Amino acid sequence: MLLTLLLLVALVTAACSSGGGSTRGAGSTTPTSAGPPKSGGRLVIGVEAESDGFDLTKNRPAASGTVVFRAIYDQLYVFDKYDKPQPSLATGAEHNADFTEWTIHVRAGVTFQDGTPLDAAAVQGNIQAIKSSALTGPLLNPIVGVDVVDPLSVRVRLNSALPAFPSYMATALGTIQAPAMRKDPDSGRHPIGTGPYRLKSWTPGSSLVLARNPNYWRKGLPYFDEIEIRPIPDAHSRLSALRAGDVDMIHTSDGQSIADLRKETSLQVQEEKTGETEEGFVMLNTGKPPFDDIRLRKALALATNPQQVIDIAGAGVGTTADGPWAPGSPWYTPTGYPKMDVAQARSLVQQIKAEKGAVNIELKATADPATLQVAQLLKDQWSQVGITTSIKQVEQSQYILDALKGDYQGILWRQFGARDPDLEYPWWNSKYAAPEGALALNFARHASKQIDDAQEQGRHSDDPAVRKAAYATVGRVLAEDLPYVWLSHTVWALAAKPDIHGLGGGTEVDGSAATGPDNGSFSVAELWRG
Amino acid sequence: MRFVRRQLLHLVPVLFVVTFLSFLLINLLPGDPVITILGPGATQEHVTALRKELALDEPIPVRYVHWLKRIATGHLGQSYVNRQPVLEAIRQRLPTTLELMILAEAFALALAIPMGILAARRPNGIFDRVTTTTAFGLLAVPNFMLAVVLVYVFALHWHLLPAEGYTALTQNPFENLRHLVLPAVTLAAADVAVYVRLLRSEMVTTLQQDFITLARAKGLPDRRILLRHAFRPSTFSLVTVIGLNLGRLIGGAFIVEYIFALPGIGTLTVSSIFNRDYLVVQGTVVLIAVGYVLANFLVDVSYSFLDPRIKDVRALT
Repeated sequence: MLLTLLLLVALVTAACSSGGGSTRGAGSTTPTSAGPPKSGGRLVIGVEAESDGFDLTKNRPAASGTVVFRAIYDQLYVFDKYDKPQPSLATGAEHNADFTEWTIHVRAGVTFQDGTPLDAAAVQGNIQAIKSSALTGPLLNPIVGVDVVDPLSVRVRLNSALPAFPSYMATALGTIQAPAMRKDPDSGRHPIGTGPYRLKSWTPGSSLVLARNPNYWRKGLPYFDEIEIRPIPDAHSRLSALRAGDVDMIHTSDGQSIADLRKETSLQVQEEKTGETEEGFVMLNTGKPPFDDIRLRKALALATNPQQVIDIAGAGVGTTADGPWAPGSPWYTPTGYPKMDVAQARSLVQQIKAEKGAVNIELKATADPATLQVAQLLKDQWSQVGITTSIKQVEQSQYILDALKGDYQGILWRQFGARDPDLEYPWWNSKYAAPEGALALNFARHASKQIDDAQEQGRHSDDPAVRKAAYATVGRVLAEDLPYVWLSHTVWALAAKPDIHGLGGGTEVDGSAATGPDNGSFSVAELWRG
Repeated sequence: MRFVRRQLLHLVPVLFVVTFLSFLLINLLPGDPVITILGPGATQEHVTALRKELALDEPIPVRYVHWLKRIATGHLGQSYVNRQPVLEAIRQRLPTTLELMILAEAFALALAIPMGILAARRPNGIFDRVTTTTAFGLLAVPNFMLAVVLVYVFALHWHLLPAEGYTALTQNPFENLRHLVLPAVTLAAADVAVYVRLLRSEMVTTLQQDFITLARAKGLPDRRILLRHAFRPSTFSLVTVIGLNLGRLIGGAFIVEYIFALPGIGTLTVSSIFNRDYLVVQGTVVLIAVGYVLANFLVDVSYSFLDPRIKDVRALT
């Protein structure tokens, strides 16, 4: 019965799931502005998924969960609209000569929602907890210790130079949770931060209500008295809820919904223009046959028509990808990724056939119809050059395990949305590759000394030009070695009733423009109705 | 009383079989709750530690026995994913699903009974033929398709009813009803068709029996014959099907809850299956199994009300 249920639900989710087909596109309607912001009122937001909890050390928030995290907590740093980390709960930070020590100064006069003052000890405890968590620890590998220097300063000791450390603190890793949460076994359901809203009530699967934090340290914020967040997993139901007026605002990465929203005149739509998008791609296991043969990887890349995938499976929303960064990102440089060339692909396949016999490959995809549609399109495209593909459907949690263990040949995947490329370190570094069967974060098992060297250079330099050149090398080597057949950049959009303002992003502490929505996540502090 | 006791005793082996099979099935499905929790950044060391913490390193039969011991003391355990007690999760979600199912059955019966009776009054008449065609139409439309059409017409076009969401009955009864109308109608549609066809067929048979001929010979009005004499004996199959239909209704509720984003047992079970949240799945399976057996037990009891001869037969055995 359970299997039948899985199948039935998979059918229903047909239209809501996003595969590798959606891509970044030009923004559509610009949000309106209607004079000075007005305080008060209630906002209802429809999000794509329920969260498992709100403790960073115990829970893994997706885009929907991050919206709540950003409402309840503040981070030491936040990214601005140019992807530069700007102080938030920190007032600034200094480093030693070789960037192996960072001293962070904490903002004075800030209190948590339970009345505890924010101080250096609270920050020290947070960083230590995040470092020792199974969920977040691997990303904070460079940290070896945290010391309290004075009541409002902590020193972070690192095992290697890390000029990008403030960028780390501008991600969720810089989230500051109240010390009381570390003693609470049920902290995921009782989050306490310094953020603009506090958790008022939460009925998982139904609704989560946030109430204004009256003691918020940024005076005048937030604007709404209360915000209700409702999980509506089906993308079409979410859009219908907005159109019917049941909710005031939604986020979506569903290609068809975004295409529909582009034609909508009675709603305002904000497509993401800042931050880094995730990419949809085919990940190839370079650690075992058949994709240990570069010729076959190249044949696949040359035979793939990503625009057709976008047009058919992604409702025409977005643009093709040639690497892990999209045009518009400060890290983007053209990678030299091969253009579609069916004749050359066919010739490579002929060579392989002559040596090894028929070219049969297996492509894994999740069971949702949108992803299967992408898989089917690719199968058809690859068959044009003589590659026979069998599609294997795998359920989501097994899917991740297969990638971790290298138990796949090709697999449809979506990743690489970090704001600083150093945060992508483990996915591409040969240190994190392992033979099939052992868990490895370098899922493609792609080992390249050039990438390793470039990553070290990017990690250890504070010169933006040097870093950009280093990551250009990463992009170029990925385009040459082809562990990934790039398809598209994922597009996220916010849509709201016309009287909701602030969709484009708020302001930094110093009043400059803050970043806009980022991979479906957005700040609710400066949203208002008027 | 002896009949009630015997029926309740049946529940025990049914629960053992159902819970063991579901425990086995969900554990045999590919996937791992530890990977679901830790995500793509999982390291071998952390995977091993969390598996031990959640007692997932023990063999399935041992875990099942532990679960049985816990359930004997009234504890269904905690969700692996959000650490919410399973009982609390069920308590929060059960009212929505119960309300949805009761309303759906109420809608289905409110439509099916008059339609079935009127169709049986003149078999192959115009009303009967229209009813038959409508019933086949309703059966042919999948409920997720019907849901989309209903949302388009009543929520998006006419703005009469909400497209999704839920308001608790205790919070605002009117809003509660508004939120449940479209899901309940979606769920009820296929049942209307089945019930109409079933009642019509039973009524046609009943109306050919001698006691109806006698009633007609006595000059009783048509309405009285249909409602007082023919209806009750014709509901035997209908009541049986309502009981058996509970399983289909629960399955339908899972899909309808998902489409309308209702916080019910269906969405809880489905998300728990995807997350491999074994204890929550077990909790909901126990609830569904108990509910199913109890509903069919009530159906058995109702037979004696509908036809007292049943009780006499049972008393003799």
